[in-house]
Amino acid sequence: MTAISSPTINRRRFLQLSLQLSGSISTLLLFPALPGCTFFKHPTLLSARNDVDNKHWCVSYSLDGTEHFRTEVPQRCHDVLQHPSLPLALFVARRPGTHCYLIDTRNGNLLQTLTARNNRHFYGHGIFDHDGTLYLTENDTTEPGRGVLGIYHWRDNLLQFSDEISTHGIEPHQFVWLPDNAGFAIANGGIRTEAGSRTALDETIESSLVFMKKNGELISKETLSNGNSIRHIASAADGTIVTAQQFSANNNGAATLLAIKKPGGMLEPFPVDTETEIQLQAYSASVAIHSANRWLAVTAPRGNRLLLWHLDSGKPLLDVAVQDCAGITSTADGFIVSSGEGGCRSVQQQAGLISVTPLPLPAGGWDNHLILTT
Amino acid sequence: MRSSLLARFSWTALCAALTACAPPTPEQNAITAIYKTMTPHYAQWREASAAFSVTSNNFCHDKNTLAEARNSWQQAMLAWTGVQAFPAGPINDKNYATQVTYWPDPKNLVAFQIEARLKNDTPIALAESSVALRGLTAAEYILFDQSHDLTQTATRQRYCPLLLAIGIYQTNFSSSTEKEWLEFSKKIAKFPNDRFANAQEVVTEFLRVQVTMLDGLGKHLQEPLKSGHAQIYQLEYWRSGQTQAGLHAAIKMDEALWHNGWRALAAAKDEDLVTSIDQTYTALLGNIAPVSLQPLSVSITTTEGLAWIRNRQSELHMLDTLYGRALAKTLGVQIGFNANDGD
Repeated sequence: MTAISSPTINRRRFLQLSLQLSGSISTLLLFPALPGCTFFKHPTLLSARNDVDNKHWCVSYSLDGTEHFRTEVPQRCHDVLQHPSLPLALFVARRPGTHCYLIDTRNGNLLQTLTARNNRHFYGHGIFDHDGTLYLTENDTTEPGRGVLGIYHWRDNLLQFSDEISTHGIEPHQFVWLPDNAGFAIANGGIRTEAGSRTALDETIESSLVFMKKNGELISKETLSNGNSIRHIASAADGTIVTAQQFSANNNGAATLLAIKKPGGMLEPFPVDTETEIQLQAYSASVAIHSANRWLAVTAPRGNRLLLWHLDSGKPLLDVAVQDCAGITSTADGFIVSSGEGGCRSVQQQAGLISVTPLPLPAGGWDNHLILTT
Repeated sequence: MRSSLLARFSWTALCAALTACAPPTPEQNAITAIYKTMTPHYAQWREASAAFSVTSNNFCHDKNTLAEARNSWQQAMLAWTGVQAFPAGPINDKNYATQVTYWPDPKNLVAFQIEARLKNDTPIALAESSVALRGLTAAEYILFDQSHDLTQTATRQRYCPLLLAIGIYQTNFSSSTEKEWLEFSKKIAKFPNDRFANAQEVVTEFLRVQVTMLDGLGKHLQEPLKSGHAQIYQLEYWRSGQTQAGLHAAIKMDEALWHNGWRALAAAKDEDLVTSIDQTYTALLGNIAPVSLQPLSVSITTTEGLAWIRNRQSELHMLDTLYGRALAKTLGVQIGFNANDGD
């Protein structure tokens, strides 16, 4: 494959891209916001949601509770990706979904439904490169579980498949940039599933944390000794990586909820006391790092708890009950946390104490991840 | 006129200051009713645990019979079952249930750990020991297991130190847990607080707890049959033959919460659902009445016993579905969205 360059978009490139687009997306660009401008005056939350009738929605809210859009979509989504320069967001279907929905974040209009290729389905996660190139984790169902990154470029106003590269592992989920965008750190969950199925094919778990270049070249591959499934991942500004695991009944009761890989170091368990791991049923939904505060946060919906530690010392900082908590993202002064059952929460440090405050957002149905636009 | 206006102003100001002035919502009424239904059961559990401790002590000093000690254990177990049927608050938050019962125990760890511990002659400090040694399941092993004869003095001398330690541990544990439950009332009375943003979050939490417990009761019946053939020791309270009694007590508690709390909330929105849940409870409790059956640990190996289990599983599944799907939808609640179906 051809290596994809990732220049930071500039005004000229932006206008070129605008002119290249036509139809619905170019309509979107009739009044484009230029680089440096902010599409959202205030931080805006984007997430997938379900309602009590099990309908699936792509939603956007301000943190004061103002709804910006609520767009119904056919498939349940998982993570959300913000385009680096345009008012676009991509909502990615979870395993074994076959849709991604490109949404105009100014009004919620569905601009494109990106459909998985034959013998592929999505795993709920992706990354936009700075030039708008899209990478999505996918399952090669001709060889169930074989992980690939699908690469999509903009052509004829649409995100279109260009190429794919191996993730060097089974069942890739979330991935993040390595420092300086030199490549990706990928959480390979290690469980094989077939097309259209969420059920494991067998009892083996071949989970791994893979570092790879954007051209697909493997940099490193590490595993956890107890075989827990690495699903989610977060990175700090200094390149520290934390992975969050999900317990599978197949791994004989052994469980490591979190693991950490410091720059230049090996992947190793992050210290969580055994009682807490049992309480959380060794199941995490999302993980986030607040780089400035050196905070590590994890949501544990089976244990109904939100936990914070100091990233470097491992000192526990917070352990509070939050029903079915799942989505989490860092903010300037802490985190925003969502819930599948209850309301969302803001986590902030005030006068030396970490406080958790309810947000005036609708309760329940918030899916596994959320992002806060900037 | 002026005094009337002043009075109205004062009343308005007072109401603004005290949210209690606003009439409670149906959700708040249900929350209060459920809490009040549960609270006496915590006291009963504390009292029954203390009584069990005293009776065990008397038994170990030849002042009570083995039958009396066993009966006292049964009262403590049934009182705990009433509390365990709705473990909202501290029990769920701190995973306290394992301090009282150790189930499932597929590897018979309770027996193994007790026998291993008794080979060690040092004083027993339960707080530092495995949870398998601390609770009523361990006491059940001591009082009921057929592998030893407690009517023999030497046997009593062997097991009594642990039995007495369990009695004291359970007395203290039930007392401290009751205090935490009473403290929990603050979290469900005024919003927002550090736990709940509003009453609807409490309704969601309470409903999830109840649905989880109903699902758990079904698993209690399913677990012994999971391997394809009946495994008696996978029944809860199989040694004492109290499986049905425990199940009956749990469902009775569940029904009380329905009648006192959930029913009025549901009735305002869906009368048919209320009828369905009423009928399911009536059928289930009628069929599970413990006095008319031989212990499940005996009948589970028979065709009739297996059919009985399958039928009760079916009724529990029906109840679980009525709560977890129909009632949840009626109340606008999503249960375990990410916990049960995440990725």
